[in-house]
Amino acid sequence: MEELIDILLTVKPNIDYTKEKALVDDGIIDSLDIVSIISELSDAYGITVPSTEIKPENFNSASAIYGMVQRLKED
Amino acid sequence: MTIISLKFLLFLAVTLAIYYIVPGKAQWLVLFAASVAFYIYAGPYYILFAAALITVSYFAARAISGMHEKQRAQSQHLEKAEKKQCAAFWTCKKRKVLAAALTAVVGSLVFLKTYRIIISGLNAFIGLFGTWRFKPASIIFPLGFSFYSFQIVAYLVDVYRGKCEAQKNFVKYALFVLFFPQITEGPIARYDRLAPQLYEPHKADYKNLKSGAQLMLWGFFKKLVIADRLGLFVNSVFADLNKYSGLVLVVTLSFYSIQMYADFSGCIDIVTGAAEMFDITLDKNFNHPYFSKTVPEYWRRWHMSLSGWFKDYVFYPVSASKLSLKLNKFARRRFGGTVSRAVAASFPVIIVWLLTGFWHGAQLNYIVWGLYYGVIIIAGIIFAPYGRKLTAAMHINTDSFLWRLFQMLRTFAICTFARIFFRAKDFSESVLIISKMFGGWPSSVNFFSLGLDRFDFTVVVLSVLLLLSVSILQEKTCVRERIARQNVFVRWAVYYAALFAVIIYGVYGSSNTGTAFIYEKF
Repeated sequence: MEELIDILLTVKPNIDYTKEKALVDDGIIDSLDIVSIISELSDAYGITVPSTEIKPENFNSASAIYGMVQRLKED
Repeated sequence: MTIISLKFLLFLAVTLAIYYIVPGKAQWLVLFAASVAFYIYAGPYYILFAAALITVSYFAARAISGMHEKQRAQSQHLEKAEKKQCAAFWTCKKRKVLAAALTAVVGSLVFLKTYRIIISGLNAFIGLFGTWRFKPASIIFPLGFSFYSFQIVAYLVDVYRGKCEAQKNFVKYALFVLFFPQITEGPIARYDRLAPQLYEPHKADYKNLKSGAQLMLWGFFKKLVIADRLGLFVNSVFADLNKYSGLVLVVTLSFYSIQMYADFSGCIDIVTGAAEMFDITLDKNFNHPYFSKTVPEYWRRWHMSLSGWFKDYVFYPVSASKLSLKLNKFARRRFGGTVSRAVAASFPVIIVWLLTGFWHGAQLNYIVWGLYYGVIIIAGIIFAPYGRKLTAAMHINTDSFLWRLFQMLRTFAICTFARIFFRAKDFSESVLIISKMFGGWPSSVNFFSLGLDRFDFTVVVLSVLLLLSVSILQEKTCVRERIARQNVFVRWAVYYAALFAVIIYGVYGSSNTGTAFIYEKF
């Protein structure tokens, strides 16, 4: 989880990712940030995030992103 | 039958009466019959295009849905590795069906938008060898085709992605595509949000009827009092562009920006209000775009159903593609930081904006319009950190009202400049406007001779101020609910004032039907 938060901080700093639960819904991160996050995740974890997984509920919090990464790693 | 005509109001009233008289289970059939009648009345042959696309997409979605079921049934008792194989097999089959259906839908749209260009290109080529020429068939672009073809694409992809089940009832599916209030200019609906509302029974509710009528009235005000009045000024200048330069063009383009907003959002208010009277909530299409502080924010608040469509069905799939990820990786290693982010975003952003331009028309000016926005958004990513440093160095309080106002005006100016390409009849006219806009500022201009006299100017200025005030209020509260909380005298005074403003100050033209909506041509 710490590694993931470091990744998120490199994409968009100055956000408390441990507390935020509506990153997309509240407009804290936008579609361009999501693209950067996908790319970083693909590099760091060797996963491919399919476009079907790119939905607000998977990017609203660090834990949601973490859950998606774990799911995609298992696949 | 335009939605600002008395005919439409009568049509709506009759449909509403039947809709609430028949049993709840049959209400969707009333909507279907009304939608078919509305579309046939708009143009008898339009329905043939719609029927063809509805049929193709209906069967494709059913086929994909059937494959989903077979995949689920087969993989139930399989081990992980076999499940993967099974998924790969069915995904390949589903993709083929989806690709065929999308080719038919998108291909029809591309054909209808480009066939005249293709024929003139062919004629130019043939002209090198002889005198024979192709005669272009007189195909009129079917009303709302750009809107409902995108709605169909979204439905097909959503069924493929498993986001929604394919509709089994052909007539119900046809209603989703043809639903009459929104077929001409959207909003571009998503099946999972609109369809269930269309099919379920609804009870007549005074609150919905009243609230819908109020929203329609506000839409009529925006369209007939503001947009069509500003249109008189804008059209008068554009009719004789060679005569004008500098300030006149700046004012005209600013007026055009307001006209566009009042016209399109007015239409959406009428459409949303009409749907609300059937107890159906449509997706929001505008969220006060001129209050945006940046261009990306503007596009999250302007024509939201189109920008949302491009985000979900083009931007994200392209961003998640192998090519995009490779580009991203390369950019991060080569440049790092903000530049890498801009490079990574540039590929999907440019594709989205080229397609957005093309969606508006297969003309160079629309493509340049799209590219302009793509470049502005990428430049915004690159320069954002420098902007932050600069404001910090200059000790500017970025939370202050003045700074936010400056940002809004800057966004308005950027978007107004883009409207040059949007309003000009072709690219060369856009270039002419730009060249004349920055040169030859006349010492005196009589603005009252440009389509609007003093009285019209007063009406338009007061109306735009009212629109601005209501928009500011809407940012904080629901204005309709706030009016509803007032006593009976205040409430009805507001309703009557709005109604008489539309009747007395509306611009109806010589045919008394108002001017066509700007977005209707797309």
